Amino acid sequence: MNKDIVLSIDGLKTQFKVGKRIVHAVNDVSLSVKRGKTLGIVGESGCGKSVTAHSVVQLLPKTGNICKGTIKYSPEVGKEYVLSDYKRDSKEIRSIRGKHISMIFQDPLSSLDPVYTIGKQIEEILFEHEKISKNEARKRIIDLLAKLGIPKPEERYNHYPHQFSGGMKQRVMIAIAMVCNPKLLIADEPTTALDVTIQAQILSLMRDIQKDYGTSIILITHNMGIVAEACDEVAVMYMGRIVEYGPLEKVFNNPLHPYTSALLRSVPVLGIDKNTELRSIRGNTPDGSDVFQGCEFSPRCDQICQHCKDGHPPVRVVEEGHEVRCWLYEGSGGSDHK
Amino acid sequence: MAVITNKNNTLLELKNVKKHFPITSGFFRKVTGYVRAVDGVTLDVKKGETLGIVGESGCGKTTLGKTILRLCSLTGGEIRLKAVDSGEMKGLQDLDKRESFEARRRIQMVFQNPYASLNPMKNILSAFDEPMKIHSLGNKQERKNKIAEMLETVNLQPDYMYRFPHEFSGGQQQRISIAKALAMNPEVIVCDEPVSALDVSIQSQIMNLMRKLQKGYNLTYIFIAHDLSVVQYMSDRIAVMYLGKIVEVAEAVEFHNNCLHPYTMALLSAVPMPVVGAKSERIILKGDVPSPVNPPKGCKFHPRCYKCIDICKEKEPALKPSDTNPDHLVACHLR
Amino acid sequence: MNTKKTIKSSIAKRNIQKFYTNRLALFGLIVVAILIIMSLIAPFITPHDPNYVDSYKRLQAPSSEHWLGTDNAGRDLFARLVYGGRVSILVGIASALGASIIGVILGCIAGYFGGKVDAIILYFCETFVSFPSTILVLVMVGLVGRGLSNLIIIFCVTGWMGVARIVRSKIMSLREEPFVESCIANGISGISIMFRHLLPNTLGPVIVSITLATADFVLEESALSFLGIGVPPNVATWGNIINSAKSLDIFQNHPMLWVVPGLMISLFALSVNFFGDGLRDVLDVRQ
Repeated sequence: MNKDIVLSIDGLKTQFKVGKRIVHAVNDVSLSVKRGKTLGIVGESGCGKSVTAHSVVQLLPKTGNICKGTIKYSPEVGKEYVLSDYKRDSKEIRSIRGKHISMIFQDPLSSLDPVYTIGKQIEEILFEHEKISKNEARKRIIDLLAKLGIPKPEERYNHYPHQFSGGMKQRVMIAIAMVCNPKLLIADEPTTALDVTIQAQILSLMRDIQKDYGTSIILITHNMGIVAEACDEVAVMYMGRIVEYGPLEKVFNNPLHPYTSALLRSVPVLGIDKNTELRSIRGNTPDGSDVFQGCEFSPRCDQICQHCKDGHPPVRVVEEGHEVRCWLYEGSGGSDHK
Repeated sequence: MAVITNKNNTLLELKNVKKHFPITSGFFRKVTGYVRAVDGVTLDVKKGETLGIVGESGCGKTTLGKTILRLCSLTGGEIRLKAVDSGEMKGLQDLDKRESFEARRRIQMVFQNPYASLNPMKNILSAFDEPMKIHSLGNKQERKNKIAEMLETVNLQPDYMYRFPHEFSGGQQQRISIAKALAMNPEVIVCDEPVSALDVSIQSQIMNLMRKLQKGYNLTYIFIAHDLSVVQYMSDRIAVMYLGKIVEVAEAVEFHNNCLHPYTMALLSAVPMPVVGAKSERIILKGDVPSPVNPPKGCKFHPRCYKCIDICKEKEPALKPSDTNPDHLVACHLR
Repeated sequence: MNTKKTIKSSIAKRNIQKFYTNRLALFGLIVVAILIIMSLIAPFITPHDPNYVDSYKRLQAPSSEHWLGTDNAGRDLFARLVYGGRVSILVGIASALGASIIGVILGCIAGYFGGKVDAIILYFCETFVSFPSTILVLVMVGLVGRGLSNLIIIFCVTGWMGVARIVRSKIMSLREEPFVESCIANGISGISIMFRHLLPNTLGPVIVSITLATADFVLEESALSFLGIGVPPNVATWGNIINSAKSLDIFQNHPMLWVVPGLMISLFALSVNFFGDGLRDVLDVRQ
């Protein structure tokens, strides 16, 4: 594995059993997260962006299963764990969760246990993974809370979740995620439930954390604005597949896949001329269980060509590091992805 | 009567509207305080325009919408609607029974969660038909034709009227909600976060549709949302709410180019832009929105304001026209 | 209009299909139907009078004349069972429906209006619940006397609380839904919102509780008759049949006399429950 890469996913396939049917929530996803960088996974509801991230630490419901692909995690150069080999809820994967790879969820309200003080909830993670005395733990947590911009941390340590506002709760969630100083932070829609002014606070906080601790971040969101602001690389997902993947500037300034460009032009930008009609993508967001002949996006695509119904388009590397999964780019000299 | 002719174009007028919810505690439900959800809002809505109301959660924008729909009573102030025949502005409270009932038809609504705004046990036809029937909009066949027409207007097949709400996707349900409001021949539609529950690709469909319908049916929208870029795209004028008060009202272009209130500036700068390298100077506000139970003294924004001066802590600024533009109202000592 | 008709019939077809695929519900429906029909056409399926005492034929074993034998007074057991079904099923269904109607109305009012109205109905409800129900029934039987119609009324009066609470809490949560606000904003009257918009959404749990209550009341009627305070002992009911079989001799040597009516009661209760579950699924358009 490349020494700059902290996490690499190769050919991941995650399935869900819904009744008697099998839903392919994630289909042949390959991506990698660079050390100290942020990868954004963007897409609409049901596109598989959360499932991809949850597959990394095998936080899947009982009906979900990783059935193919490898997930490799390298905390430092020369060290490597193959996460996909671990059994669900095995000791190995639990020692990774929280200590090496931690998560922040969308809803800070329901992610905290209302009957314990937040100090207790952060402590618990620390005691689980490290041998540390109670006093030391307390000191470290208070330092962390102060660093995360929670005023009066000594006092707040003994407060219960309901005494915090939404933005403060999300800071506590970040404290829980950061307390063991993980190498990789998976943030699943961390600001969707928050107001814009609070969202700006949290995003700038996450940037500071990355600077101070060198943490790599996977940021899952549906908001193109947040991606543009917070990410170094982007993966655009549609129906369980990555349709476009590359460095932020390349994807945003030169979107290749029709879906990416439509997404970018369908959101109103501040200062947009009121007379311009928004570009909309026709039809509905498909259900995960829908089955398509050929490219999944073809029923909604405006640039459909004769190949689109033939089969799934292979990954084309159009430029260095800029990949797209679309028949339009067949001739542009790309080779099949490994 | 000179005032009335002056405001010929005004369809709806809010005068110092207040809505306080009592907080009760104990066995005897003693009132221990009030949530000042809407605390003195004065606004007027012109015919055919889209008035955007934007603010963070808890600022009272939804409650304000509900007071216009008369879903909750007013604690103080008055909401006036232009009468159809005389063109007079009449308080919604003072209307006689028939006019009051008629006003319910004239002001329609579209809510955030499209699934919850349709009765899950009723098919589309009967959901549409009942309000049309009690407002006597045609006989049975006419109503049915109208429903079919409305469904077609929002790009749905007419025979969908026999289906139940759960058989539709979120975007389709929101189209149905819009069609349902439209079937009543309304003048004003209060839209409370109509697109925030939808996927990005569906949001633009709904926004385009709403703009098309506005032109076609000469509708007036009150567009309530938290997403500034959406509000700015949809609205002709924008009102910013903070803790139950309007802090700034301006036309959309003026609002974007020349906003005056520090809170508006912070809001605008906090919106993430889907453009690489757009990160300009960002104003990051300290702290959270204070509780509307005991709002801060003086200007309600002063504890978070980065331009706060002494007078802000003492005296609450009034909403006044700016020096350069009489249509641009702002409530700030510093303007 | 044709499309409407075909779509309506297709919904009916789908509902029938949905019900048909639920085997337990189908079984329940068939058994309940058979039991009801049997008791309705009782005179045609048995030549015997359920109350004809023939002291020469006491405690006979099953034979071609007396299919299930006779009881200690020489009455034909099969005849008593089918005639007894009339009373027992009537008591069960009528009381369950009556109690549910009271419960639904009070629950709707309490849930929709809230505040003081709700508090009063709730206190009233809790007062009833806090009495042990058997004692309450005993007291009321003492007050109004025995008899079939009295029993049904008493069951209605003492059995509405469960439904009322279910409906109240369901309506309270539904009342905040946007679709209700949309009704209010369109000027639809409170009564219409309550009974035409909110009530259909509570039908699932109400139907389950009706079926459970039907079974309960059949059992309760049997229990009261067994204690001798239900329906007068000369009227054949499933409970009275068991009641008359309570001597030790019969209990040990003629089990037919209490096992068969016991089985009937259980079978009926179980079938009604299965049927109710199926009905709930069919009525829920979301499934």
